[in-house]
Order: sequence, then structure tokens, then C-alpha cells
Amino acid sequence: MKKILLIIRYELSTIFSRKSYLRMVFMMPLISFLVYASAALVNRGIAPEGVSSFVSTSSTAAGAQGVLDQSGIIREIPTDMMDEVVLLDSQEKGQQMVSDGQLSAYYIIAPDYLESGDILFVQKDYNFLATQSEAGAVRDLLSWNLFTDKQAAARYLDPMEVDLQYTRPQTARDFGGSQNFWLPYSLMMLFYLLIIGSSSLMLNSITYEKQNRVIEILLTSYSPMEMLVGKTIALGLAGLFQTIVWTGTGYTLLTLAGRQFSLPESFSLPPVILLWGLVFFCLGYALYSSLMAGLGALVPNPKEGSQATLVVIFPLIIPLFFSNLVSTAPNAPIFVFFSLFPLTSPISMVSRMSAAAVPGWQIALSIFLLLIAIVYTIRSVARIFRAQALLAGKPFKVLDFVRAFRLNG
Amino acid sequence: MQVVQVENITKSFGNLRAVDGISFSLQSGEILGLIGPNGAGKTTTIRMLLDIFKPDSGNVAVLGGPMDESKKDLIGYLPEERGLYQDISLEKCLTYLASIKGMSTTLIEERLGFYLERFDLTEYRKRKVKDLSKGMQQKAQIIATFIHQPRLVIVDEPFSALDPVNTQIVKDLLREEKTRGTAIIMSTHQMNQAEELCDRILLVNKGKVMLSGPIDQLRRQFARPEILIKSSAPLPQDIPGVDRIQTENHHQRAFLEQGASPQDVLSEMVRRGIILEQFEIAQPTLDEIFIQVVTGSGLDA
Repeated sequence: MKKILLIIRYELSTIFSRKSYLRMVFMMPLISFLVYASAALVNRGIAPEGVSSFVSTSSTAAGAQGVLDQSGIIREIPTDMMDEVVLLDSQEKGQQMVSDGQLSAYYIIAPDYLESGDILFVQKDYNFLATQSEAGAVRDLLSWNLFTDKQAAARYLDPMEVDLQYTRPQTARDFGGSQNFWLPYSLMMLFYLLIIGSSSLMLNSITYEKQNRVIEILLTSYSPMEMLVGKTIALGLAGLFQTIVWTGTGYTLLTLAGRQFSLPESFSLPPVILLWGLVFFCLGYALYSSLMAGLGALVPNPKEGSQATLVVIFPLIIPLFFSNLVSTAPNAPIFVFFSLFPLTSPISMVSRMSAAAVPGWQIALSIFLLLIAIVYTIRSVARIFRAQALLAGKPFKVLDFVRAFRLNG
Repeated sequence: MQVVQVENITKSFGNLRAVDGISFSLQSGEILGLIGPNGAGKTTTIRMLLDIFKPDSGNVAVLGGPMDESKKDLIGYLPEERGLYQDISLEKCLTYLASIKGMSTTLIEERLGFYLERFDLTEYRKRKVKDLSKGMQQKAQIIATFIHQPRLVIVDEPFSALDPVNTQIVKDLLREEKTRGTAIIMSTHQMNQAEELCDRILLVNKGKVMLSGPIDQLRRQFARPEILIKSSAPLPQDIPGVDRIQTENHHQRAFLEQGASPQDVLSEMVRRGIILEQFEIAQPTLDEIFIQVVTGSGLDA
């Protein structure tokens, strides 16, 4: 145990002093924040009085909107829109209320609206994401007043009361739709990068020690199994740290951007998904780092190791080819399979969970299958991860790698 | 005290029998020279001693019994190919390699300072290992081997890449360790170093022990009927018992007839009034014994 702790301490101190690792961990969040800050700066717009800060802008963006009706069409405001719309008697009043933050924006309906359809939208700042959704309030107000039959107006504004029913038991949440593509896809890519990046640390660590011949020295003090366990824990912690930084950054940015740009619900990232993400990251890392350890034992140097990586990561790439399905049909059989199959589930399940409600038994089954796969893989890799292989300098053969799994019984 | 006892160990890799029934023992305070041509099975034997490989058959006892985790900290190993982390500082590298041998941080600091000073590496302690010369890296590797004061040391080509000054420092270190009671196995191709330092030799070839014993004994065993003579004048060719005389660079070599005694030859020379500066019964060097055993040829006659 003491020797495993020594390995963990050394690996952690080495990796956290390595510039390439720190760049990888912090560069992406930094770039993301820069992109966000740039977008926010663009969003400051050209309002005469300017904007004091992101927060003041975002607080007004979600507020009520004013309507200055010069056409005489607006005679009443529906009761359920009373909090959203304020009727104005002059443009000066609208300007004043926007400046004071009482209104996020206001509309001026032109006198000849029925003929021209002209409406002037006046807002404090340019908001490239929120403008379209904000126009919904005045559209509803106009529709309501243009219809003489209020029941018809209500039906026009809300034409369908759809009840969703599944032939098999499902939980309620199911967004679907192409507008929800980005979150599941981003999560899939994020966890793909995290799992591959972290498990590659294992491959690099082993091949580096083989190349430098340190491994022979280490083997006089450690057993191969102690090395495997120590490295798995240490590099897993490094990977977990990266995961927390990346997902934490993603969550923070989404929260900030949600306020800044009045993003719809589909852009939100529920914390529970992040927690599941950590669980599936840990399991995915355990599986793929074990595979990488086996690979590292068989390849003679880092260069051949990089070339042989595809053998291991290929299964994890397959769900990426079907990533469009995760938003349009997250419960399609193929994606259910991907989220249950251990070699693909670490990135597919979290992605699917962000797009649709996944039955609890499927999550449990996915975790169970992953655990079985991890145990099987570690046992198989232990067959390869022996001193003889670690000290040999033979060229890599895929068959040697596959044979270890085939013979495991 | 017996530190190593190896009995009839074998090890095969596929169809290749790398080690085939090797046996030997080693006492504390003794230096054993493990010599043999490339591919003779030396490294595999060493790895079985270190418990890196398990023998297919036979027994290895180290420090009084089978190898276990606690004994690993009592062994120092210098592999032939340098094994150091290249991208970290010399100090960090040696500190880690010492820590895995169970040394405390305080003890490491104390001994590391001493060894770095002794090997003239103090000013390089913060440098990355990859920035050091081959000789410096070899010295660093030697420090890593000895810093925990092991009771058994296995060194494979310890003088590789070292200049004469540093070679002498390492020789002195080996002698000090021997005096301290450390058992040392030295694998080398440099026969002169083995002759100078080793108490006994174990010559292996094709996985088998071809020859073993104290160096003087081996020399006597392989001694030839030849005498090296240095005299003020050329030797006469008619000395009884002398078959022929060959002049070499700094001396003359007299080949004796079968059964002739060197003492009789010496007496005859003295009787004839030949002034001798050197009269030495020629003994084979370890190099010559090595070549004879490995190639199965007779010595140059």
C-alpha cells in the first residue's frame, strides 16, 4: 500500500508540474471564457447610455416589454400577459422606462400597421440571441386584439394541447427537436475528450518509462500490479480534476450566458447530469485506462503507442457518427444500445440523459455492465502487464493485444 | 553470511532457453564477476535474482530466503542501460528513486548531498536529467544504486561512459561497499576491471555456467608452459627444456618443452651467467581465458 501511495504521489506531482497537462486543463476553459466575454462585448450594442455590466443587462433582458400603439389596434391586454407587457402613451415614456430598467425593450406599432406590418423594436443593447424570442410577446398581443372572437384568438395562440404517450413506460421529460442538438452533442464530445485524454495519460506514462528504461529500476521495487493500480488512481485523479474544471466551466458559462442572452431551457445544463457525468467519467476512465495500460505494456515506445491507440479508442468513436440521433431520437434502439454497451456507454449515456429522460433501470444496467467490463478488462490486462512484456522492445501486434482478452476465462 | 544462493535455475522464452541450470552463491563482502558474451543469459539471471522474472525451475534465495517485498529495499541495481526520468530535475529523480527503496525524506536529503558532492554533481542537482552528459547520468544512476546502502548490489557495466577519474571513484566506492560487507555482483565485459575488483568469476555462455572460481585459481588452471623473460641480451636458443624463444615488444617469451620445469630453466640461465631483469611464469589474462572458454579454442601459442 505504501508503495502504491508513493507511485500516486510521484505521478501526481509530475503531472501537475507538466506544462502540457496544465495547458490542456486550463486552455479550453480560458478560451471558452474569452469567447463568452467577446460575445458579451458584442452584445453591449450601441445604446446611447451604454451598459454598466453583464448583470445589469441580463436583469433587464428578462423584464417586461412596452408597447406604444400608434395604430389603435391594441384595445386590451390579456390577463395572463399583464406582467409581460406595459402599454405606453409616448416614446419618451418608453425611453425613460428602458433607461430606468423597468422595461427590457419597447415596440412602436406604426399607424399604418395593418397595411405595412411595420413595427419598430427599441432595446437598450444589441442582443443577437434574445431578439427573436422577445418578439413573441407583441406578436401574441397583436393576434389577441386582431381577432374579434376571443376563443378563436386563444386557440390561434395556443393551437394544440399535446399529450405525450409512450407505448412503453417512460418518464416525462423528452425535449426532442433539432434546437436541442447542441447540449447532448457537446456533452458527448466533452466526455469523449475527457476519457480519451485521461486514459492516454496512462499510455504515455507507461511508454515513457519503457523508453527511458526506468521501468526496469521500478520493477526491482514495485510489482507490475502495484504500478498498474498506482498509476490508475493517480492519473484518474488528474483526469477527474480536468473533468471538474471543464464541466464546471461549462456549467458556469451556461449559467452566465443564460442570463446574458436569455437562452431557452434547452440550453440549460441540469446539475444532476453533471453528477452522472462524473460517475460515467470515472467508470469510462477505469475501462479505457486499463485498455491503455495493456497497450502500453505491449508497445515499445510512445510513438508506436500513439499509432496503436486507434485500436483502443475506436469503439468510443462510433457513437460520434450517430450523434445527430441523440437529439432527434435519443431513445432510438441504436442509441439505447450505445448507452448500455460498456465500450460506448461512458459518452453515450450522459449525452442521452441530457436529451431525454432515461429510465432508471437503463442507467443501472449501464453502470452494472460497465463494472463487469472493467473487472474483465483489468483481469485481461493483468495477463499482459507483466515484467516480460514491460521490458521487451518488440513491435506492437494487434493480435497479441486481442489474445489477452480471448484467453481470459 | 551467505547473501545469495542460486540453485539450478532455468528460464525459457518460447523456444529459447535463456538460462539452463545456473547455480552459484555469494557471501557478504564478496564481489562476484558475472561475465559472458552477449546473449549468454547474464541479464536474465540478474532479473531472476531481482524477482523481476520467476525462474521456470530451481531456487533463488536472497538474504536468507526467498525474495519478498521487504528484501527489495535491501538491494541496489544498476542496469546496463541507464534508467532515469529524463524530463525532471536530477534531484527530483534521485529523490524518487531513493524513496521507492524506503528511505525517509530527511535521510534522502542527507545522503543525496553527500553522494552528489562525491560524484561532483552538486551544481547539476536542479538540472533536468536529459541535459546531463552520459557520464553524469551514469554517475547519477550509480548514486541511485547505492544511496540506500543496500546489502546486495548488482551492477551491470558500472564503468560505462565514465572517464578514468570517475572510473576510479566508482572503483573506490565498490571497494568501500565490499569492506562494509555488501555483497556485489558485477556484470561486465571489461575483463581488466573484473580482474582488478572481483574475488570470484562466474563465466556463463548459452545459459550455462562454463567456469567459476577465484581468479588466481582460474589463472593457474589455465596457466601455460611459458615464461616471460627480460634480459640485457638475447637469450641463447639451446637452453635445456626450452622448445623455442619468441621476441615480443618488451620481453622474450620462452615456450617450454612438455614436462620441463621453469625452476630448472631459471637455474640453467643463472648458471650460464645470463643477467635477468624479469622472470615470470606466464599466466593467462581473464580476456584470454574468456576467449578460450567461449570459443572453445586453445590459447595463442
